[in-house]
Amino acid sequence: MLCQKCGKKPAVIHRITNVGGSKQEVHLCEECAREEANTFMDDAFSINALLSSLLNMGIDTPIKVEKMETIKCGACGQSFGEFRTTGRLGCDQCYTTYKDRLASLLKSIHGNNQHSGKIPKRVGSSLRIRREVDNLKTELEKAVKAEEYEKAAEIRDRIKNLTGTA
Amino acid sequence: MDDWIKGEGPHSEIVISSRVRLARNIAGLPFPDRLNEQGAQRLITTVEKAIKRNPVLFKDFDLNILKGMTPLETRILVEKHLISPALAERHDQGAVFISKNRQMSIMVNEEDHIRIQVLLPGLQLDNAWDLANKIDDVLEETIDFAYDERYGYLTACPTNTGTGMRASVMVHLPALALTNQLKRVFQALGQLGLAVRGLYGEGTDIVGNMVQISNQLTLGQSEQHIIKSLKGVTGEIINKENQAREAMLKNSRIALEDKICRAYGILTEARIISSKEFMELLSDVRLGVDTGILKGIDRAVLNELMLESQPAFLQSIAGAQLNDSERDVFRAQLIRRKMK
Repeated sequence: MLCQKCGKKPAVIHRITNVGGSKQEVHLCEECAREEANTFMDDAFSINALLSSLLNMGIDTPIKVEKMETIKCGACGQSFGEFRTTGRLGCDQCYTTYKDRLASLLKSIHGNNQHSGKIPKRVGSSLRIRREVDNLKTELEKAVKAEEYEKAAEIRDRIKNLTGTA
Repeated sequence: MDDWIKGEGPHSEIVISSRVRLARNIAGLPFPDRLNEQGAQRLITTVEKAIKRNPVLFKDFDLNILKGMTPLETRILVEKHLISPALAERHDQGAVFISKNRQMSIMVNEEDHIRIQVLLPGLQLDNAWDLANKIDDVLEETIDFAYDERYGYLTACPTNTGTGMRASVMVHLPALALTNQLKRVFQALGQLGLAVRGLYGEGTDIVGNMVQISNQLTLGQSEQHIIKSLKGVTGEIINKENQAREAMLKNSRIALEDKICRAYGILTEARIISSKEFMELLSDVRLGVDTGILKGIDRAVLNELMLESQPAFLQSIAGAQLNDSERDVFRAQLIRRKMK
């Protein structure tokens, strides 16, 4: 039997794989097999492969993976399988499409999944007010606990003012 | 001459340059990998319009469309650190706006729609962030960026999500290398969530003791916090490198002088020199200049040589295509001409 890849040398490596119930046979000569192994090695250390391995964490059955692979983003048409191989999302909507998976992926990459940096001015005003209100509420609780009622009243007014404008 | 080449920034005896890069995408538009040619073209126009609306940026930035450039010209932009290797690969759709002083660039259609980059000489992370932030403010006046309350700025690769910011310093650490301490330093940096790379960033080897240190995490910390901790770590590394330099000068001065003067001898007399050998010898000579062992050599000449001896730059000076061995001969000529 000749090598399936180069079609010149005799095939010496025979690989039989079973993917989701369909059997596949690959027959390669020594040279082509080595080449394939090398590209596999390169892939194994790419950032994409590392991302994929993070994505695969917590999934035990291949069926689940298969289902997930075929889900496509309604906005850009990229499938989750494509994201898995390239390591890149197709558009900003993908973040909504794959919400659950990304939440845990982002957490495992960054150790955190709540942005606390810059807020664009355009979306900023209401978001900034909300952050401020959250902070004030914590302050209010502290003031009440410490029985500083005058201060608490003051904070309460500030919250009222802020929520009134939001 | 680009400012980092002058070698005059704060702590420039160790820190060659500071860089801040912000990744931004336009809401509702597929990321560059899934954008067709017209979409990519429209994006360049959108960014151009946003820049034109601001009189300061409009006067300062020039548009370069990669498609109209030769591969050699594109490569030189990479070697000058004005564009990323990833943008150079997107020859058909990539574009870059570059400021007159070449400290700031705005890449379009890289992995993300927009990448703002500021590169300053020496240790100037705060200033670099400040400038990048201001450019971002101007762009967001007209462009609606993809942003999520929880995840911050949305990027093509989840490793950039959040601030979309990568801050880095390029440091020269010959004494830590000579005293076999680099490995330990790298381990400590890794534990602090910082990445260590070579001269041209991701995927490049460390040569000539030039090390790029950058933040790895982009989600969960504010930009100011990231800048502050990178600045702190860099300060610590400067101290360690200085201590190692002083210790060598004190304990083994003659051996150090010998190494540095030999490197100078080879650099100024060699007839064939590879890029790697050049970078290694340049590191010794730079240490010689910084410690005062070698006198009368301008640090700018060393930085200039580091840039000009890169493959594309070398060929543009030669005005001809050169193969590897021709390059090694021409590089040696160039060094002799500049250093003698």
